[in-house]
Amino acid sequence: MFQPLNFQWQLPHVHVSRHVFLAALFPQAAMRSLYAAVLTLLSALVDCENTTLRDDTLLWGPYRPNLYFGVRPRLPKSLSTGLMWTRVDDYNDIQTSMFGVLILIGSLSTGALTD
Amino acid sequence: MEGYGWEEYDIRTGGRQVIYDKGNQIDITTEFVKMPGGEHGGSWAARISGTPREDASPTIKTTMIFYAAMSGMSAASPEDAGLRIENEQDPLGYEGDLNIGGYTKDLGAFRLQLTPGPTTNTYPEVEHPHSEGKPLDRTIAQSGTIPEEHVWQAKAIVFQTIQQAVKGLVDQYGETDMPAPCLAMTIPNGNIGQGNFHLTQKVFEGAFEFDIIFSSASGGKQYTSAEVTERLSEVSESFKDKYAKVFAAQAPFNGKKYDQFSKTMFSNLLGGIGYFHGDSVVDRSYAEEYDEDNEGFWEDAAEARGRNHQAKEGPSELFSAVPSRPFFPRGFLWDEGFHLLPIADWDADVT
Repeated sequence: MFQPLNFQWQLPHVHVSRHVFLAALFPQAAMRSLYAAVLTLLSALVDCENTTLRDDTLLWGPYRPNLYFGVRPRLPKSLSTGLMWTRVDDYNDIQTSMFGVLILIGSLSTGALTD
Repeated sequence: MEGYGWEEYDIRTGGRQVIYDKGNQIDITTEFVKMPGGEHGGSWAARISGTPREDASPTIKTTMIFYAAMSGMSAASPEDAGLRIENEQDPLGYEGDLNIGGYTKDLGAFRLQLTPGPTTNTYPEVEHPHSEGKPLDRTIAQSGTIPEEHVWQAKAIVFQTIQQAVKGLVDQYGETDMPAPCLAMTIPNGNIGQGNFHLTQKVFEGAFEFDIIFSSASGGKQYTSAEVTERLSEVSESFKDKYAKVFAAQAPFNGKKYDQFSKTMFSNLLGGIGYFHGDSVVDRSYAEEYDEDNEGFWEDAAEARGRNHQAKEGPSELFSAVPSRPFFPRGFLWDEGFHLLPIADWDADVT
């Protein structure tokens, strides 16, 4: 375990070589999960100068996976967007579609409208 | 809901998600692309389209709600962040683009543009006195300011706003003379302007499409829908090319059905990556019950939890894939090692 780490420090800032090298070290499938975990740690430890530039392409994304679609940047306090929809052919649509859980908050007082 | 997920997705460039919404009888496609450029992380666009499902009436009515919220805005330090709808106030709603301008220290100045979409979009025409004041071929919008801690609860806010609107109409027209639901279940065309929460709503009949375009001012370019179309096909092509190189299928798993399946699996893993920020609730009592080595340990552990030693810690941030978007849209360390195996093959720097 310490050998690859030590070696890693001497690698030039070429991400691919780090990646291939570690993969070669952990050939078995089961060990590859460990390799991935090590890779995560290493990414945090090594060469920030190169990644800062490339991270620009990671700033925005649909980084709200709990929503169907919500775009936000990787910043703590910032812009946050989201999308919702429902069919509106019937007064009950809004309750049975993606707003479903919100029936708990209060029911539309339109029960008499649908039949 | 029959299923949903990203069918193509590269975290650096974008992709396409399809939501097979059986309940609403419509399939929603959300395409997302990034346009690099400038000093603040570039621009991006989302193309939202709806296709009625086979069992749907061709005149099915669907409403789309898009919201933009800003955290960290305060009257005390307006230089930190701002967000406002730039259009001129119109009680009838907004024809053409709806523009939401804003700025933060990290993002610089930007504009979010909500387009009307192609002329093929059609809108419900409702015969009711109420429709004169609210033509549905326009975008409905409202700006507001809500407490910072509620900014993430958009769904509840939208629901309450619509609920109040319906209640108002019931009071005005009575339950027997209500306008059609597609008109009644809309937010009011309220005040627009500065605020930390902006709601927009569109109502369509049948299939539809529109764009949400975020242009970063330092990128020096306001993108158009035509450019988004171009960028979308570019990104889709580059995804397919890269996928064929990185995950070259081996016989007998090189058939078309496997190709589509593996692309969807991988894209949804990558497209499920989330950014989370906030406090954690932590119990640092190290109660011996938590060792869970007695018979009936769950009861002991529950009792220990009942002593309420939990406290908030943080805030901290997390950038992680998630085990399941519908059932577990949170980070999970145990799974993350496995998530990162294919992701590392695709783009080692993301890991």
